[in-house]
Amino acid sequence: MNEKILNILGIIAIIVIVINLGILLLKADEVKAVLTGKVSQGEVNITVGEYTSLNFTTWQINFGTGSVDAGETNASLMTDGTIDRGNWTAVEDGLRIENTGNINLSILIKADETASSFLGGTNPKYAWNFSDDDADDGSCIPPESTDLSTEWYDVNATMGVCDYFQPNDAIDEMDIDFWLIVPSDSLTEARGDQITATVNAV
Amino acid sequence: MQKKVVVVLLLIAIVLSIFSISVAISDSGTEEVNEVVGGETQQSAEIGITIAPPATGSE
Repeated sequence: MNEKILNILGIIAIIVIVINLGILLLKADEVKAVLTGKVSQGEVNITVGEYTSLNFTTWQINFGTGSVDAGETNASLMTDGTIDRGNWTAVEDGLRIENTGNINLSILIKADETASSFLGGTNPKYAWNFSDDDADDGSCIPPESTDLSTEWYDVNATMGVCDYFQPNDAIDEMDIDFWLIVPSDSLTEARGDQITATVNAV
Repeated sequence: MQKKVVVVLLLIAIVLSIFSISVAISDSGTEEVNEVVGGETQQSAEIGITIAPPATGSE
């Protein structure tokens, strides 16, 4: 009886050994890796998805406190450092936006205020200009209705600035400059406006 | 004698089974990382100025 059980156990053990050896032969590479601690072959598949991201790298402009010079009807302020007929603090740079994602973006820019509501008075001016010259030349392909660099547009509507704003690190920035004409009869005290950029992947 | 042989065979079977399991656990597979972040995105900035009343004598 005992001999019969031993025979059965021996046969079972042999079957298990054969099955395991078969498995290990099929997984020879993994066996080698486990025994040596080295991985001889591997495969990693990574799919990087589209990533939409925009950042205002310069997100605030403030001309500080000032007034129109005595005897003048207005003062002119630009974000290239120009202050004419007034004593505000010169601002050397406009807002700068960067495509920090990995896909082309379309950009719409809007402001909450207009010249009348922002500055008030007689013949105020509140205009913006879009350029990629000072930042990354060629970063923005504008729609036909928008000229980059040369044209000043009154801030009174949402502007389509770029049909394609590129993600390439070397050419992924552009500037938004501002031109204010503050009348001598303008609104007074602290004035502010929020500029919002809305982007979509294209 | 026959008993010793069976015990050895059982031990070998157990050891091989454990080793096979460890190999299966360490088996490298395919890992896929797929991050998709898209859609509309908005960012805001500010422009500010403080306007003092013009000096006496301005128009």
